Amino acid sequence: MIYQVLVAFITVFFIAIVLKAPKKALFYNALSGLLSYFVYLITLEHANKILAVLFAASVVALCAHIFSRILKIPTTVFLLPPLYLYVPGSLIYRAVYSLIINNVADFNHYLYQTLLTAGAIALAVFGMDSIFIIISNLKKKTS
Amino acid sequence: MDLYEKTALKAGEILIESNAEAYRVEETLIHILKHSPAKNVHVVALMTGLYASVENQEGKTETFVRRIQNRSNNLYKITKVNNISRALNDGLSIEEAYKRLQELEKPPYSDLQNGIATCFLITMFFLLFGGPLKEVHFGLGIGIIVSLLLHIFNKNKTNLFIKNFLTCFALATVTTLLAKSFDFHSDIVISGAVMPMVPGTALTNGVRDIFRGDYTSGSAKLLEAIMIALSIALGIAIGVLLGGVNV
Repeated sequence: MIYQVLVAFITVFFIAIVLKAPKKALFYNALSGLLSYFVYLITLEHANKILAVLFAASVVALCAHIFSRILKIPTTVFLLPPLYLYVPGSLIYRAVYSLIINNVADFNHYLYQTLLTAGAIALAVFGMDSIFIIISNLKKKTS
Repeated sequence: MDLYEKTALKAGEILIESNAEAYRVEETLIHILKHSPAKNVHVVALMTGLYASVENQEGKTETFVRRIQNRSNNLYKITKVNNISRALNDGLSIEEAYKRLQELEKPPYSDLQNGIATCFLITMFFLLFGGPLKEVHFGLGIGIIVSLLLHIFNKNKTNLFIKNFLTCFALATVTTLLAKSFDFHSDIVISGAVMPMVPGTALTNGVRDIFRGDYTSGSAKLLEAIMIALSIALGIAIGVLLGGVNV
């Protein structure tokens, strides 16, 4: 497990470089990749993959909001690289691939997984966005 | 067209070219134009174009359109544009802001650094997807091929579909041919090697845009994700068939 989490850390570090994240954001991206992958693996032991992605993406979104406020860098910069670990990019490719080789059962399976995973990630990111918008509105009201 | 409008449009153009979300583009333009005398600012940011309409001091309405042809992920530019637009609040002059936006072309990483990162990214994904440590050199080798091909295609400004198709075709052919003489997990190598090309950004931003209510740019981004997936899958399928594995 420690091995996998460390691999996730290094992977996100390189993804951040490929997506041209600013240099001072690289380490924080990798850190959020590490934390979220830890949550992902823990959840995977007790529940299915979709729920694990939901929790992991929530951790990524939470970290993104915290880091972006500390470092004054837009949230997207901390959101996209760690999410590459969970984004169903390879699932959507497998879906289309099954379609090409005329394997309809696999196509259905992968397309279904793609939609569910994309939905879980969107729910996590959007939910965390909304929570932070509500918090900042509350702060404005009280001050 | 005054300097405020020029700056705002330039900022919007850079943001869309860097694959930013639609709401960020619109908010940045409105934010920059808040400092100008123009009133009634309306902005629509789509994936392929930018439309802005403002009412100038004499009460005339001016409309600006920008067509955006090429987009590529660039979180560095998004950060820089965001910083410049925020610095306007802290008293940065608009002339300085325009100058800084035009000087943004220099990337934060050299081509070599980018290539090495792509190569190691593929290797790490091979390990992450459960590839054994003793077969890591296959992942690394395919990683070098993919990052070289991507570099060549990026230099020649190849169309995104053709770029992904040819790269995936090459990597699938090489991997299946290698799998005939060596014993290794070729399917994991292929899954890892497509990772630099998979539509992760398009999918995430598309779904985010849709949740925010920007249906036009959101669905366009989802369509882009499907097209990228199609190009990758076509390349892999033809490459695997040519490599001679029964699928």
